[in-house]
Amino acid sequence: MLKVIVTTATPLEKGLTEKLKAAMNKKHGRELEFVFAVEPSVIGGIRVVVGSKAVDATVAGKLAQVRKQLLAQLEK
Amino acid sequence: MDIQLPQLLFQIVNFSVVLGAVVYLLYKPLMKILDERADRVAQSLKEAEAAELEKEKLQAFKTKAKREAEKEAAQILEEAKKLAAKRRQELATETKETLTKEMQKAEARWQTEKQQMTANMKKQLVESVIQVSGMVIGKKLDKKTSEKLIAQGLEEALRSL
Repeated sequence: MLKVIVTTATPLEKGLTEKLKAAMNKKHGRELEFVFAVEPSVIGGIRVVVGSKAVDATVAGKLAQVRKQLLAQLEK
Repeated sequence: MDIQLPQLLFQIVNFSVVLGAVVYLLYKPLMKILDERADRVAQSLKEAEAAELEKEKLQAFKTKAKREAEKEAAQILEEAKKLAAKRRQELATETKETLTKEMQKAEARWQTEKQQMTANMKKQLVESVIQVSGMVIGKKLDKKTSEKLIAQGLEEALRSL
């Protein structure tokens, strides 16, 4: 069964989790397995991993991108 | 006074005999000895003159040799002085060149280290800024903004995954 891992800084509201489950199941046309993880280190936002694909919309992820871009600028 | 002729004649004959004997026995050998002595003296004088001449020649030779040796020594000294001056100049030039090269190397090393230090400082600054930004955002993030972020993230996730 395809696993969906959702990571947030604070626990998601139940209404939101149900909405997410329904939307993902509909999109994939089947029942998916959901894991909701809480990591304060992400600071804010959400990270969703489905199989080998991921979307990182966390504050920590954005900061990591900014960091990468700034360091790349310094290398030039 | 009575001069007696026979006695006179006898004295004269006697005297002549004695004189003859003296001349024959003493005078001639004596003269021979004197002549020999005069010859020896002349020989000695000749030898002395020759020795004096030889001495003068030797003195002249010594003087000439001394002069030539002094001249040669002066030339050697002069050449040594020139060589020393030339070597001093060469050493000074070499030292200057070496010093210049070392200074250039040190300058290049300093520039490289300076660039490295600047790059490291900038990297550290970036890390600090990111860290502080994370801390500030974490403290300032309110519920409304957090929910907005989550909603945006979900939208993107549903689009892409």
